[in-house]
Amino acid sequence: MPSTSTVFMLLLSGLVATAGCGVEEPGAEDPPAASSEGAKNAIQFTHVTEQAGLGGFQHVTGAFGDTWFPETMGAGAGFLDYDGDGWQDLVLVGGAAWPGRDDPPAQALRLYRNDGDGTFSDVTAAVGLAGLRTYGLGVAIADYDNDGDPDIFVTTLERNLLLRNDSGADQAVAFTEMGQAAGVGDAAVWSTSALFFDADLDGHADLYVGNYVEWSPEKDIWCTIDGEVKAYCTPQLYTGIPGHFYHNNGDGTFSDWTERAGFLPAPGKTLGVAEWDFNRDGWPDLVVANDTQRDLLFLNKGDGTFAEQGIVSGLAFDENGQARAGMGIDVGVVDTTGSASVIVGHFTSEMIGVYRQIGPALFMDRASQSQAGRPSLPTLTFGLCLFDPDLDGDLDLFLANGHISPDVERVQEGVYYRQHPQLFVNAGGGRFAEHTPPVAAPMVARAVATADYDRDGDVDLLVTENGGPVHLLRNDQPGGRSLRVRLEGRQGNRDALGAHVTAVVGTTRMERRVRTGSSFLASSDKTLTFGLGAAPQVDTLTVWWPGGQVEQFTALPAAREVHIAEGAGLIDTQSLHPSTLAERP
Amino acid sequence: MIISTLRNSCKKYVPLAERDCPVRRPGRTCGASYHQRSDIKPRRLVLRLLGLLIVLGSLAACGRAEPESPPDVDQPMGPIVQRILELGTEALQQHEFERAFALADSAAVRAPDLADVPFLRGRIYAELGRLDEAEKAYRQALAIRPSYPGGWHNLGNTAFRNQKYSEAIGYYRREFAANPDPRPWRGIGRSYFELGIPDSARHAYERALAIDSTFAEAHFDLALVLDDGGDAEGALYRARRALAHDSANAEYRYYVGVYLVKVGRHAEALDLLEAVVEQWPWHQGAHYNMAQAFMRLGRVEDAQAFQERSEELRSLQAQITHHENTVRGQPTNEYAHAGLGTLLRRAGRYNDAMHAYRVALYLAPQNLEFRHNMAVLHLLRGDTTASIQTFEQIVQADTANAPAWLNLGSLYAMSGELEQARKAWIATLRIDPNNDLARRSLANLGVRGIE
Repeated sequence: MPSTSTVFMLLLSGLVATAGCGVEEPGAEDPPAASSEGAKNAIQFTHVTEQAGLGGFQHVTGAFGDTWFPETMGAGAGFLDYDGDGWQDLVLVGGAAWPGRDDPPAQALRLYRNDGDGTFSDVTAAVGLAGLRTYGLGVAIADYDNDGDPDIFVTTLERNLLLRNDSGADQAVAFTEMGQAAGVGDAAVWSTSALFFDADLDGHADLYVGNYVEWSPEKDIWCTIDGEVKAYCTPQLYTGIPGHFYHNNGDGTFSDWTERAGFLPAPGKTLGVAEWDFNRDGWPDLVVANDTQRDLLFLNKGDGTFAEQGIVSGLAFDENGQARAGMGIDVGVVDTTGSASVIVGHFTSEMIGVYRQIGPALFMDRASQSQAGRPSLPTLTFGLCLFDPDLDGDLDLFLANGHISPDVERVQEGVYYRQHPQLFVNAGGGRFAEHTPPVAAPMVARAVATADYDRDGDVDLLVTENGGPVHLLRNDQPGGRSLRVRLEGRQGNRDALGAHVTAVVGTTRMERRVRTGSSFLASSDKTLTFGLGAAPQVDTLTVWWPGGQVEQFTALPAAREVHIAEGAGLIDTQSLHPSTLAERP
Repeated sequence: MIISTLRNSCKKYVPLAERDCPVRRPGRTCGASYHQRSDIKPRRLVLRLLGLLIVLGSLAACGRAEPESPPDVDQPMGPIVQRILELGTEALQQHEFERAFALADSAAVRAPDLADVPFLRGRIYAELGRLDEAEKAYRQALAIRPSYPGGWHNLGNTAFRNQKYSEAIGYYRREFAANPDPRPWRGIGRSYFELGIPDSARHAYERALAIDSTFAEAHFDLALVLDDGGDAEGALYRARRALAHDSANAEYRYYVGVYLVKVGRHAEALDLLEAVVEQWPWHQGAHYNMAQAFMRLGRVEDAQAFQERSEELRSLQAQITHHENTVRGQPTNEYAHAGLGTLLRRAGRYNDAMHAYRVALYLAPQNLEFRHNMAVLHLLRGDTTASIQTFEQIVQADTANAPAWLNLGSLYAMSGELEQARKAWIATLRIDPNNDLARRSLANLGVRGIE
């Protein structure tokens, strides 16, 4: 049986290599040790969209020839277990037709229930979402009202929506739109990526919403790439809209604390936002990727208010001090140092950003040294994620790519509208090696979300296309090579957002964090996956709950999903079943 | 409003002969352009010939078959035509485009079948950013003389600027076959770099350097390739080599500084970056990197000071970049060029601003507002004589232009030509009797204004 102990946050400083130690030289550390010899496995994804019942989905941009800017943005997606059956369901942003057009109305959102056999069923109408009409973009998913079920926040071109999950005693589920009533739907602006996080550690998930630019059909600017034909614009000429921060009042409503919490001034044009505790003070920080504007680092001042430190930290610009076209974003520890790396997707001809933390609030872009920079030059990366597809314990990198201009290849050699996604395998020492892409065909990719939808212990991918289908990529790792950890907050927020977890396996130390946000317009499964390679167990699992409590567990066997509740220890363990899916090869 | 949606197609700070090249790097130079038939320094020839043997061998080994060129059919160049073309080239170098075209036309009248004439026209069009016309002119030159030195190369530059990199490589190869020289190899390298084929780019740069190991631009471009590949030390070495061969080049100095920051040699970087800031006080990247270096050295106050300056420069640089993109998309829009000139002037980049104004004036020679701005720019550059000449042109064209008369008076006064100053201010008051400045200036001269 695993033992549980409770200590306090002070212990953390002893485990963090960087705190108070000055500046490190990046890239000099040893590569992370594999969990055991021969533990690495070939990465193999299988495209299962059709057989999963998702083949009928088609995102709608509303495009009718006038090339309106929002039509390039695309389709958000998220995983959630809306009905609490333990299987990750799926919500897809459907898009919309433009008002005043004769185009058939599009379904703003589609909710697909995971049937537990590798297939999904469309339950949009059954949960009351069939009549929803809005030009939706992204989703953020969390249990904002701490009632035990996940709610959905939808960013749109207009007023954002908060879909409260009202699970009834009879197992019936219906979503109720609460955006304006809850105080998060007042601003009718173009919003993009959003995330829930408990900024002030009061036990209620707050909300940060990234906003893009001031745009309306009346303000549309005539852009071109060949001097003759109107093309989709880029954001330089539009006025940016700063993000909004909504404080959760704990009674089902939010208050706009954007200015009060220190989120102003800000340039706007946000496309990605991610959460991490960079300075290891136990308070969640945010990084924000902005399109053609400086990126932002909001460091929590320890009271739920923030100080923007992007420029002084070295994270705001490229090496020449120039703002790039920031798109999706993610954060993770990709080497053995315990220091985080912030990955930012960029436009074509711009490398992805690989900002390695070299001090508590100091970063250096190591894109070229990481070997992931140069291959990213011809691609336009929107969604991205750090995850461990080969379950070897270190984080690899997936980039969802696709251009905004359908005719770009006509005017720019070597750049394509439909682009291959890219997978970079962690080669150790802060370096990556490009791997065969998990999908053969190029696409106009936008969001990417992760989940273990088939509960076989590895992380699967969902990729959306702008104005196109969705792609479910099943990860086909051999079973039994991971430990999945689901956390439940009791004193803190129910989703345990902000919980930091380390798993030690032999000499390998892995770090994960319970978060929403990251990527682009997406929300991923909040259950954590620790790849163990051939190791039989996690030797020590340590959970730093938001608020400061620390719990430790030992000898947790592989091929399990454990459910840990704050202060209550391990309350459930389930075996992962790679053989439950009949069609598995 | 017409806006280009192509991002990053050219981010550069340095004005050069070949403008608007689509490159990734801010501050990176564009392709070397052929300006005359041969500008290879004699002391390098031996080295180059040695290198050529290697290169030609490698080309042969590649088995690449270049199409056979028809014989040259151009006529011999007489001394008068030669002089006219020299003057045309000088006019181009001074960005006097109308004069340069006129001289090219004169040469064409005297020698209609001389390849040098359309070649010069091609260069003028290229300088004006009118790439289609430049290409047409270069092709005319090559039709007359297929081996015309630089013809294929500049055609390659034009294709490169149009982001047709494979096509550019073909032209550069033809240039090399016709006129062995390290520059086509550099063009090939840059094209491969843009196509995302760094190994081939590197190979091409190494070929260029095999011909001329002092070819600074090839060293520098090789540095960029190495940096992209994560070899910051290698990039630093190459950038240093570039700087050693072209020690006045602030761009190379800047990149040496950037690479020093990258490899953690912050104190060393500061020396170089400081020199860049001194030479280019408008350079935002140098300020930014100084701030980063100071930050990493723990000198927070210094870092903040440079960061603040960097931020001040940033918004202006963003506007400049936007206008550069607009000019690229609309090379015949005089107001786009003038707007760019105004921003460059505001940034203190007077030479760049002058180029932009000259293009604007070429496109709209009757626009006295442009000419007025150019006169002011002459003054800012310290060329009072040129400023006076320009204001004289303005008042000749528009005798009722009171501001021009007023400024002319001030310039004459600055030059000690008080009688001329008096006449100019009197002219001002004749047009604008209530002009206090003119009245006060006259009073300072001890002269009463006109009744």
